[in-house]
Amino acid sequence: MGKPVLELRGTGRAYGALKAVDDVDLTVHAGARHALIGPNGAGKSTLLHLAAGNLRPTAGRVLLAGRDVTRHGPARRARLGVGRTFQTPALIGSADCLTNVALAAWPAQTFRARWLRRDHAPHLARLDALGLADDAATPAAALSHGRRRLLELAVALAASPRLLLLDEPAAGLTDDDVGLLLTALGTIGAEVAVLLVEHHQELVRAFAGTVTVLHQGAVVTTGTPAEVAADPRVREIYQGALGAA
Amino acid sequence: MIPTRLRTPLGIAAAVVAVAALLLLPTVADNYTLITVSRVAGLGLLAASTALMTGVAGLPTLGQIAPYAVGAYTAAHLAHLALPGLVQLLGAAAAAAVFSLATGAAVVQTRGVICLMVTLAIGELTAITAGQWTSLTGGTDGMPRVPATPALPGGENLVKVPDVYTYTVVAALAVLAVTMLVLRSPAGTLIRGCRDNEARMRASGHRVSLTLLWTFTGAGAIAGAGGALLVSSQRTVSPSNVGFEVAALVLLAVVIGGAASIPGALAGVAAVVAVRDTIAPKLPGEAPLLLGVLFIAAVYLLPGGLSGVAARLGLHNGEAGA
Repeated sequence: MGKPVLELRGTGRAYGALKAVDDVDLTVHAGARHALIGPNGAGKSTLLHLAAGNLRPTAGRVLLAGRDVTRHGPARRARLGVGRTFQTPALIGSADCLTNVALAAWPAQTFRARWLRRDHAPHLARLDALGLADDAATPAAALSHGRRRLLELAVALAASPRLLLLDEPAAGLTDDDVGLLLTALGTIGAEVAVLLVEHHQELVRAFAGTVTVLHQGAVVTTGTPAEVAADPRVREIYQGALGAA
Repeated sequence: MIPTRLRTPLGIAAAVVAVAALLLLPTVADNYTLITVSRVAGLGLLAASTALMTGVAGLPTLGQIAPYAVGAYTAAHLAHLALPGLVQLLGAAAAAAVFSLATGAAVVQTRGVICLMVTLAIGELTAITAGQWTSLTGGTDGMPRVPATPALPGGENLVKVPDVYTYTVVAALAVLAVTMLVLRSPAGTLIRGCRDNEARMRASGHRVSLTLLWTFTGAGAIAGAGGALLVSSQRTVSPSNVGFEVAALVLLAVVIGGAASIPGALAGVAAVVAVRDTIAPKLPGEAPLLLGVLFIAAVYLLPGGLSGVAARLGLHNGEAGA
């Protein structure tokens, strides 16, 4: 395993008496393919927001490559190498796909590169890798849902993050689009650690090397997909969730 | 995709014709028409400033009247010091920019209706201050006799109507040209990005509040320049020039014009002032009602405003996704 990229230490987020995330210890290592699973309401998205800086923890700390970023907002964490996607793709609707990627790369670039809009080649290559080259001049608002997801992935990768946080990237996708997404995820380099919240079981099985199960805001277990699948506690949680549904 | 850009050949032709018509107007029009148009030049910059904040940056504002007032009184004082029009214009823009930078920190933290209310409060407080700080502003009487000055150092004093007209129109067009160039640059893309999706901009590492603060400062400078042109054209300034009625009139003009479009805002000002000055005098006392009806009609009949109509006619690209 590589060095820790993201560390949550006793991290919690409470809303009054409700602890959405409670005393979580979680480490994402360099180059990891780490999935966060759990029943609805387990606190997965909250945890991702805590990692990205969209939410401040009410307890514990957040470390990025060993540096305490607990008090940093999302923009500052992004400049320290965190890229993310949202459950509903967050894009600049009025701008075309190329501009979306260029804007995302902007904070990581020199003033000259931004201002002169030179060298679109890496941005175009980024779009091409996700099959979006033909849509480079299409406004993001005009794309289909599946292509918006792919574009958001290109955007999240544009500034070459060392940690990529994906919030249910397969949600609302057709089977074909999930296939495209999986191919796209496969192109992400080993220098990027990925933390993924996902319900889509095949995607998790095909992509993740490490799985953490979250239940009622707390970590149940962390292991390989096979270990986690064999864990009786995990089965109980999912059966309980199914039984309740 | 970029609404402030006149990108189609037809749109460029329309812009060229409009600018040429404005510059050639003194050869055909009477003095009354020229005075009216030159007074609208300042309002046009105020509308451009409001459109920049409301439509391009996505912060709806009733308060650009405040930097407009700061600019107008600054220009009047500089005119009393016998400084030329260009210095008044730049001085007014600078003072209004400083004012906006100082008040902007609060404004850029707000969105939507809250932003409208905060900017309304800033506008009202500025108008009240203009009415009460007698030593600086002349109080409710304002500054009634602003001396005539040349446009440039060593030039002739701007007294004759065609001269005043040419100065104000050329100055307004210059400020607008700079504004539209900036909005075409990557800075414009950045501002529209903050409007379209703040969460994305922050997630990509952009300092959204700082971008909006600089935008607010720039918009303040434009409004301040508008205030200077008001003083150059009418040679007086009083609190009634910078009150709520003017702010509401300009916001109406911007909505009619299509909030995200600077040319649309200018067309909106022309339409609103034309209605106010031609039809309203025939219906004494009913001017606010008339403008209200115009506003409702614009919202229902012109989605996207005049610029939306222009987009449908192929004059410019309109705005995708809004």
